[in-house]
Amino acid sequence: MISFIRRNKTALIVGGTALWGAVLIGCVAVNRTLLAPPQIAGATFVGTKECTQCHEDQTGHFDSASHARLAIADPKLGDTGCEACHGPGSIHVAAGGSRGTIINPKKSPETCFQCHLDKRAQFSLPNSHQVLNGKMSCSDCHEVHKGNAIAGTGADLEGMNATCTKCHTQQKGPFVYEHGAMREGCVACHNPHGTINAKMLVARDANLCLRCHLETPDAGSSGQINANAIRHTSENHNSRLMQGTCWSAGCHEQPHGSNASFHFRN
Amino acid sequence: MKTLFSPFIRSAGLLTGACLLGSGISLRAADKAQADAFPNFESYIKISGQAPAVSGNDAAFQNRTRQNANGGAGIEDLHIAKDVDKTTTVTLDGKALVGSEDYLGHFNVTKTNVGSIDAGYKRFRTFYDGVGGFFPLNRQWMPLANEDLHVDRSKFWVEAKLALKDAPEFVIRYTNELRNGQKDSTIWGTTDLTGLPFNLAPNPINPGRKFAPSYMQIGERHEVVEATVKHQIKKTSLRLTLLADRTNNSDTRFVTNYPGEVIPWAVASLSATVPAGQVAAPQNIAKAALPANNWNNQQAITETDAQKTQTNGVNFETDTVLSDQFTLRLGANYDLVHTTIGGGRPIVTQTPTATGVVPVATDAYAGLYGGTRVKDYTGNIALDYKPTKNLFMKFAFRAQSEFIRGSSGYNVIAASGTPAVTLATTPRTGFAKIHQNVRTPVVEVRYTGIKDLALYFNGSKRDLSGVEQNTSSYNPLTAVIGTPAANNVSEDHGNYTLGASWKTSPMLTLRGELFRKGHKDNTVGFATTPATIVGDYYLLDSTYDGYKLTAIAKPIAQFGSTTRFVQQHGRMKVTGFLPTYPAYDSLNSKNYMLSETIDYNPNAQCYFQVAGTLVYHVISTAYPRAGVTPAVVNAAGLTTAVAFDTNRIVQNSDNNYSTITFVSGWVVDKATDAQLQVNSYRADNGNAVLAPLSMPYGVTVRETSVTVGLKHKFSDKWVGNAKVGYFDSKNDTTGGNTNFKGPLAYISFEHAL
Repeated sequence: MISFIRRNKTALIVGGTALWGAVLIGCVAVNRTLLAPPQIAGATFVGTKECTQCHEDQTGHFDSASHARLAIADPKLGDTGCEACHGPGSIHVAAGGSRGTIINPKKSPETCFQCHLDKRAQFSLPNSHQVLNGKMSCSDCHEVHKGNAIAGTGADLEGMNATCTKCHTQQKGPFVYEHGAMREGCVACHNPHGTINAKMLVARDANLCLRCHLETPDAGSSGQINANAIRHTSENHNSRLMQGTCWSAGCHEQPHGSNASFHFRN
Repeated sequence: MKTLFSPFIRSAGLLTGACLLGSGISLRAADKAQADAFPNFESYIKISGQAPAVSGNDAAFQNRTRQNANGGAGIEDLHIAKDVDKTTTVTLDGKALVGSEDYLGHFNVTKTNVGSIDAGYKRFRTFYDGVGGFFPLNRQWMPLANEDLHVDRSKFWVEAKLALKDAPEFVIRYTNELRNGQKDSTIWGTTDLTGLPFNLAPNPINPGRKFAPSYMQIGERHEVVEATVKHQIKKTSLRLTLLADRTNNSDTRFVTNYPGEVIPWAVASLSATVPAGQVAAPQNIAKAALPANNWNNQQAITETDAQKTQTNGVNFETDTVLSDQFTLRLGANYDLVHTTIGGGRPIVTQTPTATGVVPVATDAYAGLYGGTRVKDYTGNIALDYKPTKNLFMKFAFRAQSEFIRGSSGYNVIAASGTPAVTLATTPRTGFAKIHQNVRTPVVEVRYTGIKDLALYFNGSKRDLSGVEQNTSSYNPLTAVIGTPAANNVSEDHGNYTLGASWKTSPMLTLRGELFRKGHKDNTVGFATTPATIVGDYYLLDSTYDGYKLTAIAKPIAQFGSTTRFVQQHGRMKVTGFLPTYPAYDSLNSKNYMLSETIDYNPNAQCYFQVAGTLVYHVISTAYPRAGVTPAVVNAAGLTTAVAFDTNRIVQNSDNNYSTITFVSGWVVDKATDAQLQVNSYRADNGNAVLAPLSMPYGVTVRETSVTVGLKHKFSDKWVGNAKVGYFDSKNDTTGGNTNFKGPLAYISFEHAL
């Protein structure tokens, strides 16, 4: 095993150096720049005023946008205006706005990942919206050119859950029996960027529900779990919780709201 | 180990040195002319194909990689743009990938100062693997008959815009979205096949676990007609929108409880009643002597939720620049929603009789009818104030009034008697009514008056008050009303952010942000009939707070890094059932997320990028602090339940993981680029030790993928791209039953049109 590694060590050194040399020789003879995405090779900053000439709709309200709070250019992005996210625009301007000469975050989330590093990780998880493969984009849910980046928050006219329910209509309701958690928002239970759990749940087990619907120690019963504190419940849930989650088969199957049961049961 | 790896460390050092040497003799990218740059085609067609050769679970591969395990090919991208005349442009976009079932057809014609027509159809597929749970104690795994599930989302739209110069702009748009197919559900069926002993009293441990897979049949339609008129009058822009929104959904969930189980008639016919002086019924004593697949009867549940909604709305918004310092925004919205509902939940139980096992159909509910009506009034006002160049303030207020009322009815069909089965039908009905008012004041401040420093604060406070009346479902033939409740409902929700961005030098920018989200929810009953029922009582007080720290460094032109650390703690207190119960800590959550991205461009012709994230996330509720459930002894002196460790019924929810992505690209020659990408995802939250008292859900996965690609310019009109990758996914959450590995090849050709 050790001799195998030593032989390969030599091969790695010789081969690697040769490969690097070959690439280097090739490189210096080529007038093409390769940069890690999302950057535009050979372009320089032209300033937001230049963008306004064609894109007034996008630039006109940027003062009110959440992203305006950044205000100070960082050394990587180099700009606080349009070009912070869209890349330096000189080639785009020179080409008369030609396609492919400017970074379009709608086509690739790499621009957003430059600051929102954690979102890159979340979107790469098995349970996430399809942003990395281009079926969706960050701007499908976030407004970056004006107002709140997280739509439906603050004093926005549209409701908090509208971003989600425009696609997930079945969960929108209205239901005969509404679940109060929906007033806090879909994000009370789901992380829309992605989680390690199925359905982008922030927890896959009963803890998801027990955060708000705890079973407390019952006074005078030696401190053991007693279900009396669960709303409308006088039953001890120990035996059921052993089997699975609160929303498992036969139990509270309709957490988004129910048309049949006040307890979201069936 | 040291002996084995030291040669590699030396080799890595040599190669790194060579890289640095190379970087020293090359020029920065932006300084060089891009004479050999790959062309950007204005109009083009890109044809591609991909072919995996995966061993293992194909459905899991599809679910994870979002690609068809049988491969696929077609037009990946088509774009044609043509200026018909000086003021008219026509664009056509298309996609047709068979296999991944990804299609797009999009047509747009725009004439400056006249308007545009835009129409299109797109469709894409989401793959699901139809898995249930895995029980580690006896390594039990139950696959669906067909794990290869998918849902197709499609959308057709057509939009006409009239945008004459100096005239109001009119837009009318129709969209029709469909969502059809099958997907897995987290509502899993129960099974006794767990290797745990029958829970014959006084054993308190339930041997059943809910991990039998289930799936949903999705059938949803969403149509929207939207008409908008926009106009600018001096410094005021106006926008009026009329909306007609229709949904027609019918989703059905298929769940099987106790798959493959049936109680022998000899046992089923025994008494299920506990005789006096005993702690177990004769039937249960007999079951305890049988294998697990004789403890219950297989039960197929088919639950359909059908819902049609009609929403009609009107929306009006204005935006007025009052002066250089003030901008005023106003908005108003009214929605009227009507919903009709339908569905049922038939259950078919394989029931033993003296003459054999027969399917018996009952219904948890059938013939669901009823509906809801919502009236929603919303208005907002926002004033942007910019007293100086460096100070921005926004004061906004939103008010909403919502009236929701709904009622429903259905029949319960219950079976009784063996061997002859009698079905009894019982009608049920119920209603609910909510009126709530929401007020949300918002303040935002930004200040950039200090050199290289930006400060900001955002605060919003949503205050809800209302009244809800409801009843649980009741039999209208035997009761005047069910269990009614009338409650005062109030919520107090605050979101606060305080942050700063500081450019310490041209090489380093630091950002910090403190955030707090507080949520109080009070539901307090005030009157019911009969008066002995006090209504609901539920108080929730939660706080999530934390901070984000970001450091963005670029010490040299070739090297940059971004580091981000996010910390969040959550706490909740809940009081429920009766006012005499004190508030308890129901949640203690901790979430730490460290992310790093490093970009290194040693020279103009190669780059390296590493991005990684490490997450520690734990959610703890009351259970792990519950203590031990004591033994219970009945009046006859018999032990009816033994003591056991309640703490382990629901353990902490661990959601820890790490991801790493490495990407490197090189210029190989004038017409060729190469790229290497490595991805890794790890999670290790499994805990099989929990299984005797719980269903362990913790995710444990190890995934690695490596992709090598070449991009080559054949001519000024032809560009090709080829990639070869290898995926390896090991999923211990499913006991290795969804593992897959194997190579994947991809090739594409792009041609200028």
